[in-house]
Amino acid sequence: MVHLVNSRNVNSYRKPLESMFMDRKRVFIDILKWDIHSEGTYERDQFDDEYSEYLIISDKWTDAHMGSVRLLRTDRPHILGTLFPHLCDIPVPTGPSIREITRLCLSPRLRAAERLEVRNRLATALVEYALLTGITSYTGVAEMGWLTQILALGWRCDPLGIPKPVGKSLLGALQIHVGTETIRLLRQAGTYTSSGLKLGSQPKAA
Amino acid sequence: MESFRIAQRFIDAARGVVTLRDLELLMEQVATEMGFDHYALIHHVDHRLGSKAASIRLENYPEPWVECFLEKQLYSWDPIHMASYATNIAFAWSDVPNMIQLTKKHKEVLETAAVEGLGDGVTVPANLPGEANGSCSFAVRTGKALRREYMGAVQLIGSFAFQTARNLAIEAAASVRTLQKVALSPRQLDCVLLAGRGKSDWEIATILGIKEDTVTQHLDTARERYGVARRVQLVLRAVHDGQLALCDLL
Repeated sequence: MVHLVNSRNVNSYRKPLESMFMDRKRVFIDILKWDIHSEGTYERDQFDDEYSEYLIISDKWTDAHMGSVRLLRTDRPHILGTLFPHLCDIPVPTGPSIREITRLCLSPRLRAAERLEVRNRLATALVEYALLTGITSYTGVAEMGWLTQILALGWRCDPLGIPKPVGKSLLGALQIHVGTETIRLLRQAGTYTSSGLKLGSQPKAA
Repeated sequence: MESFRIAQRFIDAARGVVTLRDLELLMEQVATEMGFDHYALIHHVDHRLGSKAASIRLENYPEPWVECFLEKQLYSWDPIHMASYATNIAFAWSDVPNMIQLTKKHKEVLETAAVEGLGDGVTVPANLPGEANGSCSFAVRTGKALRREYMGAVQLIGSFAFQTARNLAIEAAASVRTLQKVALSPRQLDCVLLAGRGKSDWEIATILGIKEDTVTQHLDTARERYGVARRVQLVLRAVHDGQLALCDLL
C-alpha cells in the first residue's frame, strides 16, 4: 500500500520515514555517489521540511521502507527552480497545481522483479495522487540514463531543456503531464499497478 | 536554444505518428536538420532470434554496409553495439575506444563501415529491463566532422524516437511479450539467484535451510518453466526477464 506522508500525519509514520532517510543515504550517497550531505546515517536536505510530502511504500510487517518519492511545491523553493534552473530552456514551470518529483528511491534490499513492481506502484500512485488533488503536472530533474525507462512508463512527458553535464552525470529537466487519459496510458504500457493509495491529511497551506 | 527547438518539434511530431512510415520520414527530416546523413533505430537482439513480431528496425544506412553487416553477422563484433551496453547515455562513436577495449576484429568492423561511407556518429542506448536492448543512432558520412553541439538534442530525440517506435511495435504485437511471461516462486528465485552466484545445490540448501533435494527440484522446475536445459540458460533468462538484475548476482 502507498501512503501519503506529510507534516500532518508524520507521527504515524515515524518508522517508514526513518527507514526511507536511511535508504536515501545508502542509495544516493553510498551507491550513486551523489555529491550531497548526509546527517549521520540519514540523507536529508533543506527541502525536507514541513511543506514536503512523501509517497512511501513500506513493508506490511516490518514497516521498512521499500520505495518512495518526495513531492515539493513548485511555488516554494524546490530542486529545479533553486538548484538547476539552467536545465530549462523555457521558463521553469511553477504554480500551485505543479509538484516536483524528487529523491525517487527504491530500497537496495529489493530484487529486480520487486524493484519494477514497487516502481510501477509509485508511478501509479503519483498519477492517482495528482488526479485526486488537482495537480496537473509534475516536474523533475533526471539523469538521462533513466530517460528510456521514464518514457516507457507510458505517461506524457516533455523535456524542459537540453540535458547538460553536471559533475559525472548528464541531467535533464522533465515535465510529466497528468490528465484523465493518463491511467489508460499507464495501463497500455503495462505500468499500472494497484497502489491502494491512502491520502491521509492535507499538508499545511503555503 | 536552437537545438532544443529541433528536439521539441520532433517530440511534438512524434506524438502524431501513426505508422512506421511516418516515423521514418520524421527521422530522416530531423537527421538532416542536425547535419547528419544517416540514422538507425534498432531493437537489437531480435534480429538474431529472427522473431519480427515486436522488433524495430528503421534505418537509412548505406545499403552495401547493411548487406555486409547482416550477411557477415557483424553484430557480434560491432563495437558501437557493445558500447551501447556499457552506458545508458548518448555517446560519440569516436569516443568508443575510451569506453571499451577495441580488438582487431572491432577495428575491422569500423574500417569496413568507413569504406562503405559510414563515418562518425552518436548512439543513444535504449535498454529496458525484460526487453531486448535497443538504440537510436545518427551518423555522418565518412570524412565529415561530427557536430557535437547536437549531442544533447540527440539524447532527447533518440529516447523519444525509440519510445515512439516501441509504442508502434507494442500496438502491432498487442504485447511486447510474445512469449508467455514465466512465473517463478520466491523460493525458486532464491535458488536461481544463488545458483547464479556459483553455489552448489548443497551450498544453496545450507544457506536457505532447506533440503538439498528440494533445491534440485526448485531449479528443475524453474528450468522447465523457461523450457531450457542448462542452469546457465536459466540464470540468463531470469536476468533478461528482469526477475533478477546483474547486480543481484555480483
